[in-house]
Amino acid sequence: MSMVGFVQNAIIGLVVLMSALYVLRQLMPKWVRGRQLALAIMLNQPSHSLLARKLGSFMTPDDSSGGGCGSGCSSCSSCGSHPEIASEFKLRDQSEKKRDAKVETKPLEFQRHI
Amino acid sequence: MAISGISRIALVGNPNCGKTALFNQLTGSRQKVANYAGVTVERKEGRFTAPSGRVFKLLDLPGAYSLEATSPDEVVTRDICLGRIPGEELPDLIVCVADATNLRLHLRFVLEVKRLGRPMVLALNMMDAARKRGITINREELQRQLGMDVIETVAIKHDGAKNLVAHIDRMEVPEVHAVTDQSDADLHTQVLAILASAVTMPRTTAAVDDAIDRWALHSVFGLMILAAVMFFIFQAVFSWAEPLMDGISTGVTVTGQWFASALPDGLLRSLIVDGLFAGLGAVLVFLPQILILFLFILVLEESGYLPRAAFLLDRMMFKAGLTGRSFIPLLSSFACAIPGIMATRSIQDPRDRLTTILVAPLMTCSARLPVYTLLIAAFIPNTTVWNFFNLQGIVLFVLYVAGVASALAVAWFIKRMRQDKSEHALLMELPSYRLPSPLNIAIGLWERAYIFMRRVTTIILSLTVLLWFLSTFPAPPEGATLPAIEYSLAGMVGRFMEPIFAPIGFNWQICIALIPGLAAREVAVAALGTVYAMAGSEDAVAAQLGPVIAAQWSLATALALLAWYVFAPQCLSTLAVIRRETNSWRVVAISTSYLFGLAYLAAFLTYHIAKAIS
Repeated sequence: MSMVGFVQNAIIGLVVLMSALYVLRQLMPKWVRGRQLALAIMLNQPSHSLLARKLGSFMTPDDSSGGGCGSGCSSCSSCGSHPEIASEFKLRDQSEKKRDAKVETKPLEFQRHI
Repeated sequence: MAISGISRIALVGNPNCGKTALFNQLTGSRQKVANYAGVTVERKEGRFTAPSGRVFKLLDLPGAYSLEATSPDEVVTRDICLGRIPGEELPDLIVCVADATNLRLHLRFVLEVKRLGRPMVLALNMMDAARKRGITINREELQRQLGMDVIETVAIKHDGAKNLVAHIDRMEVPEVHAVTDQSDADLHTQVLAILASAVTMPRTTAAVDDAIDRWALHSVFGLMILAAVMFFIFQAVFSWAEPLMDGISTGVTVTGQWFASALPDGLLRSLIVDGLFAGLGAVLVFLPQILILFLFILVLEESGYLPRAAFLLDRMMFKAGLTGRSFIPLLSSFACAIPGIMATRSIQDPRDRLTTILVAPLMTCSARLPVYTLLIAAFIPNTTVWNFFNLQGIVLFVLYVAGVASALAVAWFIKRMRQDKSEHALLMELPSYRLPSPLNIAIGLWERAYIFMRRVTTIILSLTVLLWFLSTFPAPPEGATLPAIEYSLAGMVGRFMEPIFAPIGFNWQICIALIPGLAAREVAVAALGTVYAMAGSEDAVAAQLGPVIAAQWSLATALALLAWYVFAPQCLSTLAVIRRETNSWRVVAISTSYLFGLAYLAAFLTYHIAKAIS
């Protein structure tokens, strides 16, 4: 394979990989967060090299990830939901356990100096 | 209690009194505001720094008529004011916002909040509108009667909250009111006494509102006006957007051709030309139509006409098993079903709320617009009907009506299923008419354009790249005679799905486009662009997808695909929000299966009827 061909393939591979990761993060944020966290913990072991541990720290997902609508919609600016809303809405098949398992997402924050 | 460092301030008040406008003014945020009740359904948090350098934390809470909450959004306000939410501190100061033109209603809630005994300030908002209507308010007397500071504000004007900020900035030890226990009747009597001593109102309602409402709320003319407004909007979407769409299309074509000639033949060229330009270009051209639709929606939102439309349609909605309260959530669903489903929190009855959630995806969201207009422009002639109406505009209007009609039919069916004979009277505030602010409209349109472009450059771009990859690999075998896509993974998936969708007239290319289209509806257009470009249709490369599909599909197939998109829940985010709002996978399963079932049935009937006629 020529050098040009190799560079082209490398660029395409990177673009496809990044696209796949983006789509997964959008459509399955919790699953991706779980895998990312597991990988970060695995890399962050004291027995591993400094580079691996740094990579592990870098990969550790922040607290606010893994929630949201996962749509890229952004039209409502309301991705952070209030936990009380869902629990107030009682349906026959929902269990208490499921309600308690809900995780509160961070409210939106805005700042201005007057 | 001294306010020091970051202190928490909560904005509370009746719906549509300008809390979010005040929040935006203070924090610099751009939360959605509109001239009707129920826009904010959950708390928003922000900060602002006062001139002294003190930083305040500000909470914008959903509007509430009473602390005795009757709907999920009111629960949020009640629980935060009462400190019932674990981990959520009580606000140090409550800023109760009241509409100065409607104190008779709003003061009742002010007195109710005062009963909590928390430090409190009254922001008398919309003072400019009150002065215009000749309403005079004796602020000192009002302060004395209420026993709290009263600050005048105009939340929609720059510096309209200056006095409020200065007042809060000066406050060191907010006055704590005594907790009182008055009955509702006592509150009402007290409101009347305060109004009599501190407020002079020439009329209870604005004269201009009464004059407009005489026509706009008329049982016959009102409905005719509403139908004419809606019809005009869809005509405009097609007629006005054409030159702009042609401009974008030409720009995409020229740039695509330049890339095609500049890049050496190979995979990278295929990705850029067949994947990105053919895919993204096909979606990008619909930006003008989306903006024109939102121009009208924003104008209607700001004007105060929308609650009138809810009032006009209440009887019809009630017969179908919905209430007038469902109107605003369903209307929000025309932009996107996600905020629409979230807006159902303002519906008190859980069963009504569930019905509204189930039918909200049937409203024609803006993501359907690229699919509809692509097919309409390709298959419906651009002719004038009765020397005035654009035929393409009429078809688009019919598709929107089909969405609404099917939502009403489904709601009616659900009502029959649950054998609900109860009546839910609609009690809805009709706000004063307001001239839409050009700046707000411009900001709203800019935000819509930003949202659309963000989708194009994130989720649509990513899916297009993935689809290109699946349409390219594995490479065709030696001596292959068919287009490369036929041997690819995408081609195999399309061929696998074809027998299921053949009865409704879909070919394997459409089947491929339906899969990435599950992430977002408009991705289907990008996917078709990529699939046809990969299949060797060079026109599709030049963002001219319409003529390509017009040549390869029958009219019956196009109509069947339109019918499919009226019903199909081709949006995973919507299903995720249904899960979150109902906390039930069962509701998601019901919603998905009934919508796909209806989509298949409608497409099947449309395809066979169209085929028989043609």
